[in-house]
Amino acid sequence: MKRPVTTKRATPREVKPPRPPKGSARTILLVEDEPILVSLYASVLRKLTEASILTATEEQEALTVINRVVPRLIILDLMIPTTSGMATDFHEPIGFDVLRQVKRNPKTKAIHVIILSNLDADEHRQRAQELGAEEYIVKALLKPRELVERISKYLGTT
Amino acid sequence: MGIALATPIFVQNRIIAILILGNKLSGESFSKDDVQLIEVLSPQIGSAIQKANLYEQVREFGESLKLKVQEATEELKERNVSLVTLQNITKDITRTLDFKKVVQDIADAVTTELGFVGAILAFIDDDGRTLRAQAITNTPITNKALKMLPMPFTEFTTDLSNPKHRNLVTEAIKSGQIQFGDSLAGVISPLIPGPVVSLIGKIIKVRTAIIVPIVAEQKVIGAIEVGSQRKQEDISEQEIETIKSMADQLGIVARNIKLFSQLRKANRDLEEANRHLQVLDQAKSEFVSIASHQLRTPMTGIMGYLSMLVDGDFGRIEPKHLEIMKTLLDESQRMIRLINLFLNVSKIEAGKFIITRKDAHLEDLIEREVKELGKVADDKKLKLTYAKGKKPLPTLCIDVDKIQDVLLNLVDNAIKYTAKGAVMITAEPKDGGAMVHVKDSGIGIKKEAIGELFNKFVRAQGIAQIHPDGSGLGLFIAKSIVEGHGGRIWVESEGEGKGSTFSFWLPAGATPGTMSLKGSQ
Repeated sequence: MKRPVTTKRATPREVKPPRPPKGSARTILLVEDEPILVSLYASVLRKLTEASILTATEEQEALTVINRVVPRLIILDLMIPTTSGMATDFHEPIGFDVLRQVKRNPKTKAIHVIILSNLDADEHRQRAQELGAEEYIVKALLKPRELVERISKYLGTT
Repeated sequence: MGIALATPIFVQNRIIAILILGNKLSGESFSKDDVQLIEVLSPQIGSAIQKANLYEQVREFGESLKLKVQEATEELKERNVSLVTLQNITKDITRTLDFKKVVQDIADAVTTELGFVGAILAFIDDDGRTLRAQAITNTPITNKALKMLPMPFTEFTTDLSNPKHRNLVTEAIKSGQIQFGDSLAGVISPLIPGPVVSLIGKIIKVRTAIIVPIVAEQKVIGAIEVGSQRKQEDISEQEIETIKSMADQLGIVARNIKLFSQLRKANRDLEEANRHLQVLDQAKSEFVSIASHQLRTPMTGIMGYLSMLVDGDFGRIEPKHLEIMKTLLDESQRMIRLINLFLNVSKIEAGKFIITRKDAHLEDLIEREVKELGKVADDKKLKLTYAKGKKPLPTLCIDVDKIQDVLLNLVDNAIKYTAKGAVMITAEPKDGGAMVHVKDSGIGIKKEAIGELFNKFVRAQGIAQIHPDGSGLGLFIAKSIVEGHGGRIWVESEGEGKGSTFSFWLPAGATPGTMSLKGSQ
């Protein structure tokens, strides 16, 4: 399944105008389609990290941002829709396509990818590991604050 | 020659002969001595004659005996042939449950083993009224006859309820009695048109037709129709008996085959039902997985925002409201835990619960749990302690996350069911592994409830009931995890109000790797 990595959509929107990045250009891309979770995680990340937070709600938008901005870290939901709004398959979630393309592209493969999903079948964990994700976090098992603790080690300056 | 002397010869006081003597050659007359000699001799002559007679009788008796033995030998030979035939057929029957093959083999045996021209084996269809030939002896002559038929022999059917179809075969089937005829006509007419019958009659010169009904479970199910080129009086009782035995065997075969095919059908139906159930079961676990995921998503949002509100991330909240929000947060977390429990049970049942072992120290896991739940215990003013043993625990090769879940479950339950006092965790090396006890001073467990504690559901009056707080599910999962590691989990309680101790033991020495965990009941 190949999808061209071309820009089709406008520049990614941001929830708020980003604060000027402190220190290095630390950017986190949050790929999440549930509005309540977008605002929840975006707000806790803004509050507790100094990174600038970008969000994307579907596959193509996410890939566009990734290729343009090359963020330091991607927090990636698995059950996201395609650009056409197609529902994602429980066994083949679209998030894996994003992960595969990030890790395959020499330009983006160094980006840390944290899977943040409410799926937690072993098949999904295993798949994420095979495709090169750095962490697999189940949303419902962590408070937002704990999430930030878990990912903070990927936000270092190196 | 004149008679000079005559004397009777007695055998058992009966005169059986008279000894007549002529004159002596010397010309002398018989002296007193001579007479005396003859008197002595005559009884001996009598006894000699008697002996000779006896010998003749014995000889005759011997002759007749020889003849009888000969006859008996012949009969035995014949019996032997029929026994061998029957044995061959029986062997055939036990070896195959293919009805067509058995029937054909028997039709052929009538010629090869018994020496008849041929046989037709006919059976009544399931409708109970159509009689259909299922096999005809396969010989050059019968094949020649078959070629004269306008259609395959199996298509000639007799309607048993139609009086116009009456012949010797329908008679045998109706009466259940053996029938004899002197030509083929009585067997194949009126089924086969007259001219064809006479043509066939010229090829197969049948002088005797023997029709034996086949009986199974007290019901006539068909007939063996045997043709012979001999006259009826030349066919022995023994031969008739053999055909009857064949019919009996056929009855048994037919019954066995019917039972077998019923069994096979029942088996197929069961397999089908089983496949269907598997599909349903698969769909069920799939549904639970998807539903759990879908339920978790909004709960994540609710729990996440509540936790931020409670933590003051959105500003100060009035203490009264803060209490409410804390309760809401607890409840939302409880709901997420329940969803997780359902998800795990469904994973265990679907065989998708996977254990990934790596080396770990149980002490670390216990300490993490004490730290994690210490706050919860503090809130209830309970003392939660880990009394480290004197001997160090062996390194275990375990699925760390899953064993952590087991600890969480046991300690969380202990806190939940203890109103005051303490929860104490101890651990010790034991039987080449490590044993952990979680002891509380809580409500305890009724003796009769202990056995059911680790079941997925509590069974009451035949209805599956779930523990209201899902703790049964938690213990079921804990048991599945511990047993999946080759360990044991159990509970001891002195009774209600006397606290309880949950313990588990895990073996050391496993090798790192991944395995799927099968559900246990």
